[in-house]
Amino acid sequence: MECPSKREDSSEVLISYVEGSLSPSAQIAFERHLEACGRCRELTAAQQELWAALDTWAPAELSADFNERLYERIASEESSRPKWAERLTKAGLAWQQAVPVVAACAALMVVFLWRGPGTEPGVYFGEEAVASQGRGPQIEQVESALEDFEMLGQLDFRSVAESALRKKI
Amino acid sequence: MRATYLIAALALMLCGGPEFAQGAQGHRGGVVSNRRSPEQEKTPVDEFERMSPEQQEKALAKLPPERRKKVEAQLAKLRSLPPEQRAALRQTYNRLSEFPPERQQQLRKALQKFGSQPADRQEAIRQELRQLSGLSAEDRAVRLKSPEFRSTFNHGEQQIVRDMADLLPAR
Amino acid sequence: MGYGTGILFGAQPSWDARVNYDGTGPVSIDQDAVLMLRVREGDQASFGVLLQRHRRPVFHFLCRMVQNQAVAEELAQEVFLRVYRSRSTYEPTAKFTTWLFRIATRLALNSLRDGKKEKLQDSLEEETPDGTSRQLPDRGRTIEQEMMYQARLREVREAIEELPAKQRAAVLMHKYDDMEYSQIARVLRCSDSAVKSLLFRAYESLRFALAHLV
Repeated sequence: MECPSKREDSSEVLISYVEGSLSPSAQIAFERHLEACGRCRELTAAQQELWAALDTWAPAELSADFNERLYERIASEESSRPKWAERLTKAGLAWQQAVPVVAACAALMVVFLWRGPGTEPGVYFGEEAVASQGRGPQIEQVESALEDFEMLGQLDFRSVAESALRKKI
Repeated sequence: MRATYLIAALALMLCGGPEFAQGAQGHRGGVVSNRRSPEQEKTPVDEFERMSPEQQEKALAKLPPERRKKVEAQLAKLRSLPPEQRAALRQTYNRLSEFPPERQQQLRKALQKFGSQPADRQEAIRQELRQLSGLSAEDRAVRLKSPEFRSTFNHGEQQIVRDMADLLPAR
Repeated sequence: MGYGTGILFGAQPSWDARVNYDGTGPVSIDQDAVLMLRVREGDQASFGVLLQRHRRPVFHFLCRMVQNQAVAEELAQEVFLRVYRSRSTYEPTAKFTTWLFRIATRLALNSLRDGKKEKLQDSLEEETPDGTSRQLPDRGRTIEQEMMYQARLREVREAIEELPAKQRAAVLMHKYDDMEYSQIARVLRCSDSAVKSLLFRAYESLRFALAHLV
């Protein structure tokens, strides 16, 4: 077995051995190597000691009222949501319960109208048809996204993205 | 509720059945065919562009004149960008969007601060970010703590760089 | 307690673009993702199950990250609050625990950066929130052995605290949550090789820092 301490990835074998995740054959090979290699024995002993030391670290327990406080916060947030948001959510739920068939039909429409990736050149952004069925983003979302784009455009990550894209090809 | 699940599952099977079957059969090759790359992930602007002209007009009509004018100008500017620049912007926007809302706000503040820097300092920060983008996460951390970095940028600029580094593509 | 089970659920547009589904063998279902989908549909009880299942590991992770119980609890609350807030738009594009720990790590890193950490006062007898003192488990040690044990524990915690935040997060997830390199990579949004590099450097630093304890 090549001495792990001489390799850049020595730690991986060492850590795997100490945590007991080496395969049986790899473990036997490594133990055989340990008999002959003082450096690796040293490193292994140090890692085992570290592991044992880390094992002693038991953190505190959660407060008994953790869940209660969380639910209070959730309830408080929910009760301070604007009425229109609540109505929208309720309307959404009612819609969902009342017309499951419409959802299935819409999905079937997607199947027939779906154009897969790469079949349509990008227009401005994106290469896939979106079966939005008349629903689009809120104009405020678009506004906000455009503001973000404008700010992000200052950074000029183009050269960065180009090299990232080239790496993925 | 269960009926909804069943019908939705049926619809999903019809839409995504081939992909699931491919997966179940042990299809190798990494990314499944319907997975989008970061470059392709839709933003609200993408979705707006996909609306019909009538729907776009309807949406824009909800805005007061000043805001509408601004949105139209921003859209026009975006449309005029070369494709690779749009892709880069989308990537960065999607990374921003993946942060929790509070962190997004912090990053937006940092962007605003960046925008208010003198031009030469903006370029210095951009240059630093370009260099950081070529480093691993660990090396970036080392660089951001280095005396050289600290001596190149004042405290405010350092914080801008640290924040903006979160938007860099990972290596 | 470890997180060794469950793989990617489904093949949806990616919330985490670096996640690859290699498709080996039949699709396993991430039970937590199933529960979260029920929460999305309005099932509050499923949120309760997720909370019970994951609150301790998340809290322990945060405790070790920020080394302050009060701050860790606050952050742990925030983690689950964010999970709850995101319920209507939840998409199971990664393991639930990956998402959970991503939120936790992000909050911890922000907290550390904002310097909200306060040194936890360590002592043999600690006051619990209800005022009763915590008795350490009797391991059959003498007083002197106990003091040495506590001193050693303090050194371990200080050595962990000295690690750069991301190395610390990687070590904690690797050691105490049994996460594989690939999952840690997804939590930290970096490559597997970057995670290995983080971990190996961290363990090397820790071995060096604690060498005198051997």
